[in-house]
Amino acid sequence: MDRSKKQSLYDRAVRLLTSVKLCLVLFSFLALAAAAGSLLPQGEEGSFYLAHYGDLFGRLIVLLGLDRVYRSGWFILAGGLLFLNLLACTVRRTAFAAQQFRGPGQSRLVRFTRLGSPVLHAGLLVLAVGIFLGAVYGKSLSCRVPEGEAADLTPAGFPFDLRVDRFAVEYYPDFQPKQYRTELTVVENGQEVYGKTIAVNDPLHYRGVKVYQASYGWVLEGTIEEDGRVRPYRVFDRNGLTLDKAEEFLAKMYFFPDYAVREDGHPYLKTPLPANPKLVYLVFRGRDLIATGVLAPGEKVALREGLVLNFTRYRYFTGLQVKRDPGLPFVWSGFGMVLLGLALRYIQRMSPGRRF
Amino acid sequence: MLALEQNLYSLAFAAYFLAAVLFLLQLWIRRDALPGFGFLLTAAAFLLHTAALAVRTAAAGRLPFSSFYEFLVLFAWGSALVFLFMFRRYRIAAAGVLILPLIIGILGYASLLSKDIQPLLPALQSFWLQLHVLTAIFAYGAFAVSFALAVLYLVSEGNREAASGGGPGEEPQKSAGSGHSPAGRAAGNQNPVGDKERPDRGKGLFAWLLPAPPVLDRLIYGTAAFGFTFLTLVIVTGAVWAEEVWGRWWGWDPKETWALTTWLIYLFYLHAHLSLGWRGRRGAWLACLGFAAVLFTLIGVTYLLPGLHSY
Repeated sequence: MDRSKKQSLYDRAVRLLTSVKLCLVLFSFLALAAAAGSLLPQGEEGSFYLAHYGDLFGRLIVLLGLDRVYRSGWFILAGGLLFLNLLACTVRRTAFAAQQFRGPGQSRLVRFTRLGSPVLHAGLLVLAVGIFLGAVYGKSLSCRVPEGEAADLTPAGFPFDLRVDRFAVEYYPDFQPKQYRTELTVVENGQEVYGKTIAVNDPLHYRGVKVYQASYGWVLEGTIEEDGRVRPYRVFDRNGLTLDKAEEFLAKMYFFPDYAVREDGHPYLKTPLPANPKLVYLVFRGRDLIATGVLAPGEKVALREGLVLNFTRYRYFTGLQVKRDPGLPFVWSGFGMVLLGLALRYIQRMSPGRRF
Repeated sequence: MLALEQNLYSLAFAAYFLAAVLFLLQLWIRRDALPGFGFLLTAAAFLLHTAALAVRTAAAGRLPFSSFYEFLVLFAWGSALVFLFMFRRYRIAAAGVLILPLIIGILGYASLLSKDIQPLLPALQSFWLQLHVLTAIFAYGAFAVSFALAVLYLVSEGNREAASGGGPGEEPQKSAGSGHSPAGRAAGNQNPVGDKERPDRGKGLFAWLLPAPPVLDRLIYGTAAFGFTFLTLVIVTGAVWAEEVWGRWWGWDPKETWALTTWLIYLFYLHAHLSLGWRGRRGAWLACLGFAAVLFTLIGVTYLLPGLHSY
């Protein structure tokens, strides 16, 4: 008695889990959750939500995980339930299609097209496996590498290191960017094994790892002389640099590859090409702006007694996105199966006897 | 070149406008010739529209797939194409009453935007962009037609209700719409008077123009399923492209997210239609909801939730 009751509870749970109704509930739930995640800013600090949505709603957003919808437990749980539901549905459809397949009196084509629905649903399962593998075993890293330098990827668990040989921007006649390119060399155990010039839309593929052109900018280098001691610095364009040991002075560094001055005295970029390269610095002491100036490469300026800023060289850095996603073959296969399944369903609909 | 393009658009716009007038006249004048002329004018407008797109392609040296203006013009083009095809095959003249004003609205809106031909940014220089946009034209066009049919369905249900003395109209019988009989006969089954004499299905808007609700229901399903297939292609080609350009095939960009939301709404509709027999009014409302999501993805997200997509 007890046992059969248990059995029936189990049965009911399985029936619910595999029902079309649950599947529709999950579609609605995921659609709403996805929409909510796009309407609420994602991944901000808790204080951000309190400041923008008030005390009650701000707390509620953080409590419910609406600040990180796509990584929240309930979103992933809904995805997992959908996977189980889809699995059951695929099994059912496959069994049905197999039955139809064996059925008498149908052309080979019609029989074949009966596989559309199971293939389509199985494709979504394969896609889900790909998503899972990517989320668990995938790896991604972004780095900024100055021209001529190396990116050490092996400490992060990638099978090789990279050397950036050159970076270049190609422009349209109106100086809109046309393409960004980085010449890369793959270094494995100290050996140069492969080279490729990557561009936007054309990444490097090597040993299951892909390297993408993600961004670029300028690196500025020089030295700071403080009380007779010289130390080198390197700073990315538009970043801050601490000038002295006491950390009293901070310089914000702006690089103008083609420096020019408007009539109102404000500097501007004539072109993005390094025709007249200048470093514009703003020196702050605490919050007070105490000095500004312009330096060409090779020039230096004394900011105060015993503190000299020296600008020696500028070069491009390239922003690289490095990633490995072992789920990708499953994702592509899943997409392929979904499209094949949809195509088969269309052939089925258009085949004789089913014409609208 | 641009002047020629704009002249062609103006002509196309005028022809669409006249076609809309002819279709709308049907609301007051019963002439069997009207929808025929409306169709011919729409076809002429479509050819001019296509010519304008060809001129722009020649001027830009690439397909016109890269700005919001260009996509809106393509959206109108796809809607016209799907409508013309539908009209040829199923002769639902009343759909023109909704689809042509929609096309005029989209083109009118597009005419307010910047029409400059912009050089292609590095991220847009991809074969996948072209497939992505091409499939989106068909998906959105089919959803627009599906929406127009759904509105007609709701109107016709309203008429039937009015004719039968009010009260909640019943959903069409499952068997009538379930697709084992051709549409025409299904219509005959539903209406005892038969289809030849275009009976009054109640009095009201469009009444004499409308096919039987089960026919409309089948067509809503057909166009939504077609749109869904192409939306799947839009998402897949977009994923392949995103993988090549940004190194992630999915990134919860607002446009991606809303494409997924739209996909889920139509997925709901298709499953509810096939597995739970959600026909009629509920299905029609879902088709309207789906198209609302399409419009939000296209226009709302572009202005309210900027992300990686330029349109």
